[in-house]
Amino acid sequence: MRVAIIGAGVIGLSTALCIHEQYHSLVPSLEMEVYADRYTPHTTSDGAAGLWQPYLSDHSNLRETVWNKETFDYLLGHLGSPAAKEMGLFLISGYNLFTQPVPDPSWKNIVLGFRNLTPKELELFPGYSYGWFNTALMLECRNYLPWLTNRLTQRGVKFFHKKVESFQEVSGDGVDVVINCSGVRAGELQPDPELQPGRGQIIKVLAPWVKHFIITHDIESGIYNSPYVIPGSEFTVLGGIYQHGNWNEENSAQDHKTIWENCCRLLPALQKAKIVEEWSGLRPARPCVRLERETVRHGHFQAEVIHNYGHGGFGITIHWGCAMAAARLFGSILQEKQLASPPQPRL
Amino acid sequence: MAAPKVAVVGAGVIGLSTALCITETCPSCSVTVLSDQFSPNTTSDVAAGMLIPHTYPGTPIHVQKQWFKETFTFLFAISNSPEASEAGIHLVSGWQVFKNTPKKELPFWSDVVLGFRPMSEGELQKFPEHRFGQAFTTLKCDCPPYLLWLEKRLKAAGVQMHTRKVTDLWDLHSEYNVVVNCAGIGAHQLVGDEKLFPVRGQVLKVHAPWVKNFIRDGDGLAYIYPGIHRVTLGGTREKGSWSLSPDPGTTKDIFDRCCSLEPSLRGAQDIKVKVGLRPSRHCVRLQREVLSRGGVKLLVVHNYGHGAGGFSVQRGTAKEAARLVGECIATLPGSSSRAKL
Repeated sequence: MRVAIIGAGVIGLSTALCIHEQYHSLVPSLEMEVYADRYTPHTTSDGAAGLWQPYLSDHSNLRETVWNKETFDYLLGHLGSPAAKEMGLFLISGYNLFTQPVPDPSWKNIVLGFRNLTPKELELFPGYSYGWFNTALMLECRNYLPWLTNRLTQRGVKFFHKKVESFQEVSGDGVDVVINCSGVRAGELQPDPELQPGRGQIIKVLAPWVKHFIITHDIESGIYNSPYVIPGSEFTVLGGIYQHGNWNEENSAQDHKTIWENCCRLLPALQKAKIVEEWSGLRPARPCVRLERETVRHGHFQAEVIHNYGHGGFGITIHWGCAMAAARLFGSILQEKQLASPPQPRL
Repeated sequence: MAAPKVAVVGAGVIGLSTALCITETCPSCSVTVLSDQFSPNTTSDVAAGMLIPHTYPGTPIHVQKQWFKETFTFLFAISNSPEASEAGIHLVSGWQVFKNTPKKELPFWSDVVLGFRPMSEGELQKFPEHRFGQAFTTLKCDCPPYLLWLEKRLKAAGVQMHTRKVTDLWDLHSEYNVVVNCAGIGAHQLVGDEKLFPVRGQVLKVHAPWVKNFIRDGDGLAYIYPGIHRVTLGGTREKGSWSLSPDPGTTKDIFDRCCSLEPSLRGAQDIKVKVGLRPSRHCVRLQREVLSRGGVKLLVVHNYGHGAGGFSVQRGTAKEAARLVGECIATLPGSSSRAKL
């Protein structure tokens, strides 16, 4: 049984690993291949700071709330393991800031130690009158994607540097199941008007004295269009750009100015930080994640496709829950083909 | 009278903070810092510089709280300014965990640090051997940057700094009107204070930049304090030990204790071992003294014996010492500034 994963960002690689972990012993003939035109460090995931934090409201996407929690719990369980450093996984505390009181988020009990900010803490952030403090997780893709790649390589998964132009291209080649993790360019494989780029730009600086994440929110501007500062293990990411529908992957001088001025105003200590890199990327934005099966037919050939794309700016936050859901869909495909015994109990 | 000449003996956090306060309260004073050691070779350089107070049994709690509050407020303002990175001052959040619930759940400083509260169940799960904990956010003064920044500010204020080993305060009496003794553990020899004793601390300074939170065991023997470039792992509290040599067995013990609190430290790199002698005393010696010898007087202000709490009370005790210096100056012949100070 041949399985092809399209896309090698956090979604593609984690879905591949999850499926392989769960089914390779049940399906001895399982052959898995990853196809992508971009690999780490050139994927969208690589540009993300790596902070686990869902959007403020789940827009009644209850599945997504569950997937976020499953991801957090999965990562938390790995924190104490020797793999954590190699995965780029660590705890981090920080602030969410608002200009007015807001309801608590759906994830308040998922993160650790969630609380409101005290008046003294708010003194640190003039212009903001309300906020949260909590401890969450960082998962840096510059470590996590290579770690996933190593795990997959050890398992005999093959990697191909190739831009897949259609599902037929792989299904016609004898692949039984295609896992579509093509992110923002999924529309090139199958039109999806709901999928749009949410362009972001970030500045990477050296500011190792910053130990907290700081995310500001402006209800009017919308998510990620307000400054944020996220310290990583080596660099600190400054951001605050979200441009819906903008496909431009070139850095914009205007956006640079916006990010730099806003972040330095937010955290004066950043003024002396050394700028190391600038990067732009396209968040694969969608009203909800597309995670479903589809039978794609072309002439004599048919293939089962599992779509797993449209994770916007919360791909890292939700990735493992989605990978497990995709694995369940895979299990149902196997059942139908009577290739495996009843699905594994949910891990 | 001519500008009063003040000598500050000692260039650790206490000496430099005190010198700075003196320039603020007595702008006309000529201040000189004398020390056999400057950063990075002071006791302060070994310390992590965390603002978590040590409790002095011999000082009223409200006084200690005042000292801490003044220090915290002073450093908080710098941490939120463009100078923060040069000064090495930054906020850090974390947890103090206890294997047994402490008698006093609320330390006197709980409302000075930020966001102090008991740890949640979820947070405690990360520490299976511990039953109770406190979460809060406080400040850290990274050394050498902090001391170097203080030296820079002092130079800008016209303070001279000389490397000189002072073995007898009387050696200074002809050049200076007032001598401020911030010699730390050196005061044991310098003024023969038998009540001052070392509490030896060995620490590891490691490269583990993914550690963003501090963790401290309430017993004081295991702590993880992330600084700008290095994480300080500790520690020991060996009362009466004068040894400045790192002990390899102790290094292993400290490392194991800290890894037990934070397993990811197993991946720490470039481990450097340091030893410092906390200048410990029942209470900080913060007082004026007039020494007499053959009809000659030497005006002294003592500010030493801060033990494990130097960084936490640096500004508060420095301000008090500066006030005492002002009192000394007011007694000098020809002094017209009686009322001002």
